[in-house]
Amino acid sequence: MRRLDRSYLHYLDPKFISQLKGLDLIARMVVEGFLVGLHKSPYHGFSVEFAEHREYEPGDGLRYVDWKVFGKTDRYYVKVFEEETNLKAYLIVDRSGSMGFGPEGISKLEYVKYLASALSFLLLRQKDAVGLLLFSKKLDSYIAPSSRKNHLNILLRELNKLEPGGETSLSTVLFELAEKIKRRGLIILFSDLLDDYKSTVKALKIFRHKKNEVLVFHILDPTEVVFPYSKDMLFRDMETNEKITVDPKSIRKEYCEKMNNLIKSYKRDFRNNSIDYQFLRTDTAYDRALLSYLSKRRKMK
Amino acid sequence: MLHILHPFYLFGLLLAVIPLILHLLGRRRIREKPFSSIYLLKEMKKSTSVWLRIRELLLLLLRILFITFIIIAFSHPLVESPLSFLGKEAPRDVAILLDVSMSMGMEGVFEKAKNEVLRVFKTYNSSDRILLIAFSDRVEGIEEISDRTELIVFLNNLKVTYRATDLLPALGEAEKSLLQKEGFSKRVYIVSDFQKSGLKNVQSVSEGLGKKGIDVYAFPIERDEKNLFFSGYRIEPPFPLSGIRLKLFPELISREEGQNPIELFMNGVMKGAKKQTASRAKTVFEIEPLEAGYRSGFFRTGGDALAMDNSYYFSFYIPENLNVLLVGKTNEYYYLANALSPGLNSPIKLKTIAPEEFSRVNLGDYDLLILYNTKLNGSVKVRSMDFLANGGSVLIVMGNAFKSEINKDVLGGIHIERKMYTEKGFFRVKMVDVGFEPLSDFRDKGLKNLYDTKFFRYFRIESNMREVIKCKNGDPLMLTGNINKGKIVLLPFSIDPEWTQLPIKAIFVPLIYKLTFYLARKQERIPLFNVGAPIKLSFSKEVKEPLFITPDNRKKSPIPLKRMDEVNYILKDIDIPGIYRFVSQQGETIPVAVNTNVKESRLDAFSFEELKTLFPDIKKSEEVKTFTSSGKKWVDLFLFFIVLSLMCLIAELILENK
Repeated sequence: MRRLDRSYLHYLDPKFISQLKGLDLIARMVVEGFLVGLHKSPYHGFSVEFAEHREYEPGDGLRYVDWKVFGKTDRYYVKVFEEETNLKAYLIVDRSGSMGFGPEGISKLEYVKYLASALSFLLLRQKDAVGLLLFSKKLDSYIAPSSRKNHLNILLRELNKLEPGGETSLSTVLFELAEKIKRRGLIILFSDLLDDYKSTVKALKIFRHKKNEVLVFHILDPTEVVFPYSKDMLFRDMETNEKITVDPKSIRKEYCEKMNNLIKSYKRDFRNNSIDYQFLRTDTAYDRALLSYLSKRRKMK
Repeated sequence: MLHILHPFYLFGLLLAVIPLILHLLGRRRIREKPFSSIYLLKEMKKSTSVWLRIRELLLLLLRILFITFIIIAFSHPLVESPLSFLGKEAPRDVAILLDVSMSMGMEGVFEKAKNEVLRVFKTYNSSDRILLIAFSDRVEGIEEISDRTELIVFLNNLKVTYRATDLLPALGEAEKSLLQKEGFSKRVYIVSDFQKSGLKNVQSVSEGLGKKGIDVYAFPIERDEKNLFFSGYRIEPPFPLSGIRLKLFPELISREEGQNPIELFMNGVMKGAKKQTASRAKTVFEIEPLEAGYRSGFFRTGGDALAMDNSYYFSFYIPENLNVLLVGKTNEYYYLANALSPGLNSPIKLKTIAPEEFSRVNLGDYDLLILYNTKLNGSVKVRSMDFLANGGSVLIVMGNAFKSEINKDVLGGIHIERKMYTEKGFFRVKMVDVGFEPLSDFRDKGLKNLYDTKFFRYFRIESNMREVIKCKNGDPLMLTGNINKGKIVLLPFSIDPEWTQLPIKAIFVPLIYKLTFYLARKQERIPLFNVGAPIKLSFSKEVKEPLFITPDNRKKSPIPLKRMDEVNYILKDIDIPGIYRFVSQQGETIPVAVNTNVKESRLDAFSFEELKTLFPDIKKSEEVKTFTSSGKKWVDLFLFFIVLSLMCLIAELILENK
């Protein structure tokens, strides 16, 4: 494992991850890489932990027999694990056209795919039920939460075929979801939040109102943040196909200010409403996202 | 009013389309780029395409204005404005041509002209460039004037000259000077009486002035047209001889009413005073017989407004005796001998001998040898050649004694191929070379007489001699040449009514006299000269240390110019009329009369309308007053436009960085 330490860290790098194929592999690599890294971190994990041994009783599944102990003691013991809470996590992924933006690296949606895969893997590994909701203007796909072993494959398959498209109507979808999710759980939203700010916050507040824990991953491409264009550009909106001619030099400063203000506003308002918010650029390593999840998970314990 | 100093630069305004082209090309090059969401961009009002478009158009406009202003600046636009802070005051260029020819010497005229110059000067500012050119038939003085004191000093030093008017050199100088200047307003002011004779050649320059941006203004100085002057004089007999009374006829042109006085002075003594009543009346002065030699004097009149041409100078030569030897047969040279024997007082002393006596005569006693129908062979030829070699001259008159094929190459290098030409009918003279000295004094009547003369017979001569009279079929009737130091004249006919009408024509005697005096080398012709033209005296041999003494007793050395067999002595810069004395080391003094130009005395001025035929765009002096009385100044907007262009540049930089 030590030998693998360093190489696994690569799997937290979005750029590197994007070169791999197969979401299951990616998810595994990211999580493994993350957990290896954790050994050095103050987080000691909470996952499905070994609790104690007890003597085998008829009816126990053979796969729980601890054969090493049998080898040493010639007695049958089975491993008893600490049972997790029946947490239901909803991964809500914005798959609108704007999520397909990624001019110089991976797109926001690809970033989300890998992140969501890794989180699914992590969540399922600790027996949490994971559901997946994909939306653009409306709810496009819904996979009910489950903690079954093969559920990961279902999730990954769904994520794998995920393509950007359509306009965003974040607040509408969130209102719809709030109605749909009856049982409280963990709501994890992946979106660029490029929608009406007030209604977005308002919609997420409803989840909180229903006693759900909410974690928002605000994903943006670095280009959207620093606006590095210099020559005059004719920008086409990826959702509406609306066009606008812009002299980037003249508006960069104001644009960046507006974008930063938007991010700050989200951060402030989410904090005020006890919504965890994590701003992520598509060049940000995945560990930050996973850490924020873990942090959230600890709070929920 | 606006004026562009360098309008050619305005073609540079075409460069102003460059930003427009770049703008249009740049617009096409805007790339389309997908962007996640433009709602933030849309929120920024000024980032919208409308603002961008406005900004681009503003930038385009500023760039076009920048180039336009720069180009306009370098084309130096000048505006007539009282707002002098707009730029540097543009200097105007003017050349004032002040006439100082003799005709301006009439009482009060030159003062009027100077006052006009001062008046014009007042209308200019200290920044203007003023060139004053005084002119007669040349540029008398040229001065850049910057202040009034300088102008007054210059004008005070100016005097009217005796020279004639010729505007051309001064106009050429003014044109040259103005074209070198980079001014916007270029003017030539001509302050003159506009004497007609002085403006004949100006069209070559004047017509082009307008195209070159030079305006011409006329300041006509009015003056009286009345003037008294001498147009010349006549002397009788035409070949003044010693010992006989001479008659002198002054030709006074009078435009004055009443009686006009004429006085004759010779050697500083008044020889007579008369009054001429009518303009065409003849006045004659009879003078006592004079001894041989050079004589000079002058006529004087007075009482008119222009005094400078009231004297007329003359000089003439009274020859000493001329010894002429005529060789021939008595019955043949009858007409010629008679012509050469005018009377007892004639300076020509004629000796006639038969050809057989020729060898016994001492030729050294004679100035001229006339061989009349005498064969040029044997001793005649040898002695004639010796005579010529010693500077003597020979007149050969051919006749029946000459036959074909004989006498070829008769005299030295002169080749004579002759054949008598007779035909039914006659020939007249076709060409007379008045450049040949003995023929040069014949004018209309004399020449007509010669042209009317019929020739029935003559020898057709082929020679290398100069042919000075030719008949209609091109054959020479008089030939001349030089052998050694001597002169030779050949008449290829006999002076006989059977051969020609010449002996019975009026021109015969004067022609023979002229030829005789010319060949005998005793009469020095003294041409008349005018002020302004160089004096040129010709001598057959070099004169030692010659000098000219001017009428105001200044000594001047003439320039010697050797030409073929003679030496010309030339004295330039003849500015005053009077008797110039040519003095040589040999003690000879030749008086040379120099008079003012008759054309200048014949006062006749162009009216303003007539001036327009010479200067198509000429304006009157009154228009100068109108032009300058506005009180406005011409301001060069160069700096103004440079500032504007810089402002555009700064605005562009600011807008571009927004």
